[in-house]
Amino acid sequence: MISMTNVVKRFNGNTVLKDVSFEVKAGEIFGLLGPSGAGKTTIINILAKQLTAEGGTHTVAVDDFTQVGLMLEEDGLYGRLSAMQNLNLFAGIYGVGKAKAEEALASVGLIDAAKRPVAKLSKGMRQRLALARAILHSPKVLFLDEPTANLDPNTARGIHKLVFALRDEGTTVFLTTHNMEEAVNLCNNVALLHKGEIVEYGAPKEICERHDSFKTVPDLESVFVKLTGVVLE
Amino acid sequence: MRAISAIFNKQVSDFPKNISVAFLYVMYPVLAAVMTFFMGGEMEDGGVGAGFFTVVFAMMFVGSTPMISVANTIAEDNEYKSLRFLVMAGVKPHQYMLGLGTFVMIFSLFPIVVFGIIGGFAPEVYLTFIPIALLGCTTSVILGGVVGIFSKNVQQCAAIYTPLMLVLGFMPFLATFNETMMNISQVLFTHQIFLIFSYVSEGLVLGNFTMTSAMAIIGANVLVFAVLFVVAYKKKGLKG
Repeated sequence: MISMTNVVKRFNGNTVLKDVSFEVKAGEIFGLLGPSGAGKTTIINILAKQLTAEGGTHTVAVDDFTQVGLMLEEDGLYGRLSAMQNLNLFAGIYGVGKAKAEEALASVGLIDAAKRPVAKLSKGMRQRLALARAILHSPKVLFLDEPTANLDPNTARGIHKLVFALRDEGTTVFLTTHNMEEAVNLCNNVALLHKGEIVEYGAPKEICERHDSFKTVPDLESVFVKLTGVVLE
Repeated sequence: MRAISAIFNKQVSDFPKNISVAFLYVMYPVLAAVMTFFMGGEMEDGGVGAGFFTVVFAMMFVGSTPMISVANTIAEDNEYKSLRFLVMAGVKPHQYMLGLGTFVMIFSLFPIVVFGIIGGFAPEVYLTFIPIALLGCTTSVILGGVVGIFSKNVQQCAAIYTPLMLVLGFMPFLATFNETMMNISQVLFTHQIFLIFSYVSEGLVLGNFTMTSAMAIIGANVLVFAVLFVVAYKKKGLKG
């Protein structure tokens, strides 16, 4: 469904992605893990056609890019408009109707904030609204950049449930995170990214088994530290 | 069509809340009304029509407000990355521009009609005044597109449109006092609009030659701005 083969990306002469290759199967939740600056957002931006790569190939197997949902750190929401007006704009563009916008808003627990201007929402609420916008049109592929960063544990669990539900409906979910526990609980497969290189790839449990890294639960974080020497924040 | 109407509807909800820009739609008619009320009589005594201030402020409005509205919206959408999500949702650049431009044109109609009321125009004057005002707004919208695309953010956008607004708004007015200024100013679309407004507000009929040359200059302005728009679009694009 999604693939990258030997992708290279440079910014001002600095190579930020070095021969990155991975494959994501249809209907799975794939996690790209790594600390800030590892290149996670750059990979999402390349796959979502927001950036061009200098080398290698990449594909997202959809007929039309409107079948892709995108949630980035820079949410692009309209601050003066209410949460519902923001969703209604995209409901109008996708032609999905206002009922679908209400449904999406309810699914991220923001129905009570429907009429509040986005500029007055907290960062976490804006993040949930951006997620609602990303899933509004039932995309085939969903890119989520750090979907639970800045969220309290309860809300993060709610987002996890939503991601599982989307996966069950057939959506392929590609997310980035630096939360290893989240990756273990959520992802079918993960790639560990360090300084623009994939250092490990596979199912979280298999990776932990390969590196003999189990506490009471698979300990992906210690695998990462072992491979890279970097402790995640 | 769906995308154009969604962008249009978004503007309907968003625009009145953008106080600094929406204020311009009120400011020019209010200034025209106040100046006409207090000084219209004096202008008439001095041999200039009582509608002088209406014509001046209508020209200033047409030359600057649609430009600022469009430029500011594009710059905001660029700065806050909203444009990126619109493009991802399948909105094409021409749909975005059409939705935005159509809204600005329709919204501009209200002050234009108010100018006519303030100027006390006869109904037949509207037949020339409104189409010419809308032609001016269209030119201004295209110029706004150029400014918006070239601006990385709202601050940079204001730095570009402020001098443009002053040149387009004040040059035709100052040209009435200075011949050198007149020679420079007459290549501006706002100067030609000022000329046409001045004639029709007095109930005068423009000669064919004056009208044709005015329309040719406005057309040349449209062409120049359209070319600049294409250059700006090819260089920077509308993708956020």
